[in-house]
Amino acid sequence: MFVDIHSHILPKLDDGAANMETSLSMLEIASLSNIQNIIATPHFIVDSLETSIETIDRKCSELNENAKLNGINIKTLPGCEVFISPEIVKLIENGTIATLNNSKYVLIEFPLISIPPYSGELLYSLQIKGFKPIIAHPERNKEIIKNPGILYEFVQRGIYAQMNANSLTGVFGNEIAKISLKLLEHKLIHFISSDAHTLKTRSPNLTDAANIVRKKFGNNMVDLLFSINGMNVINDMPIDMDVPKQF
Amino acid sequence: MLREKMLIAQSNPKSPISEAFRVLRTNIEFSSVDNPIKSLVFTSALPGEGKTTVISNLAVTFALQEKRVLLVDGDLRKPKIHKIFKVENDRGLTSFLSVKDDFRLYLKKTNLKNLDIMPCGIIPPNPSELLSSNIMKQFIKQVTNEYDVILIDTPPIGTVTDAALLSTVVDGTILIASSGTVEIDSIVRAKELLDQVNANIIGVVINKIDKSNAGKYHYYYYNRYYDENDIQISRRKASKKRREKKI
Repeated sequence: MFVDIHSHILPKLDDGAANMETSLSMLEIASLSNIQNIIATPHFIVDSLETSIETIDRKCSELNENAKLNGINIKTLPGCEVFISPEIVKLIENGTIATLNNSKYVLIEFPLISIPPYSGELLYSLQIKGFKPIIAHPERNKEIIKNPGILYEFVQRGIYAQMNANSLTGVFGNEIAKISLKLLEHKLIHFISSDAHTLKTRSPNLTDAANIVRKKFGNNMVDLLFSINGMNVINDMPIDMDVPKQF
Repeated sequence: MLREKMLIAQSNPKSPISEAFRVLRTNIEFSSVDNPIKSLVFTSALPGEGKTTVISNLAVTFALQEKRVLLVDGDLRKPKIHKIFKVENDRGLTSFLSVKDDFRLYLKKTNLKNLDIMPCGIIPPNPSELLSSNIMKQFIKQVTNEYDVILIDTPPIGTVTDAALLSTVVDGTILIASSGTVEIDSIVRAKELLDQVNANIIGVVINKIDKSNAGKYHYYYYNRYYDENDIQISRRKASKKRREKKI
């Protein structure tokens, strides 16, 4: 049973599902991948898209009710994907920004082309306050593609990383598929999730990525990346980190 | 390596290795007549010379002598003390240096009543800055009032500046040199780096002596062959360094 910790499945909140129907169709696709729990992670962008925790909670219950009516056995839990900016530490601390299923885990997104210079300090101050940052799709970040040692430094300091399933399957191109494998080899990835937005190329399908991981790294890795670590997030339990390999 | 094997001073106090640690302890106690040495930094030229093993066993040896001992993990880059003593590393020195409240909140107890541990805590993005901060100096002062011996593990001085920074706020510094692996030039360079900041080098611990070479050394205190990970402090080298320093 898989856990998807990154999904834009909630309707009408961001660039994800456009309406409840799409959300339900996305759930159906997810059930084909054996997904049982999804953490809904609408974008949170300071000053431009500040979805409240109440709204996220309400949308989650709506989706869960509709799923039940349609006989879909998947639970959607509240969360969000926070776009990095200096203000977010305060907003996470004072409960304005949703953590993943109210745990200490926070999903944080970098810009695709850079890593802001204050990132190290920011993630550290979250950690000092007891939060556990998870970097969303590092394999899509230009700086990390150029120098994956940057991600090594973060992971070495106890920061987690989540990879997109379709980065591994090549949806974002060869370069990203290649770096994805490299990051996995260096034990820098703790979750593989869908980052689903739609029904098509960015759908909640984890099967193909799981097959690649199974073939290259074995069943245990599939369990960790697609299921065990995600369950630990949901239950707010610690995650055993593998010692990452330096580049 | 097993914890029992790493902490031989505790698991097997009668072994020749444990005896070597007691000799090291005595040598440190008598290394300065006028100003007793209370706080000590341990470093080495290169990684993997055995700093953490030596300092952990020495801490146990001091504690068994009914001294109140604080073992501080000042290696904020690759902390290991918490692994050897099997304590949590979720909070520690870095939390104290960042939050600036009571250091006692971050100490960990061990199964020896006289030995407390300050683990590293979350690995920070700016270790050198934290270690050279005023709050770090105050910390050393405060713990000097509460403990008889303070032992601080640090990263290798040949790689990063952290040990040099710390050596200026403690009573003495000890260099660990791994026999047969570290080049003499590297040790000389390490000593120069310490001299540049006027560190008080009280001695050198020669580690990992090959027992088949043991006959060459005349300054052994007792007449036995040793296991591979044997440890000896070289009084001769220590006094030579002191002489050099005076010139």
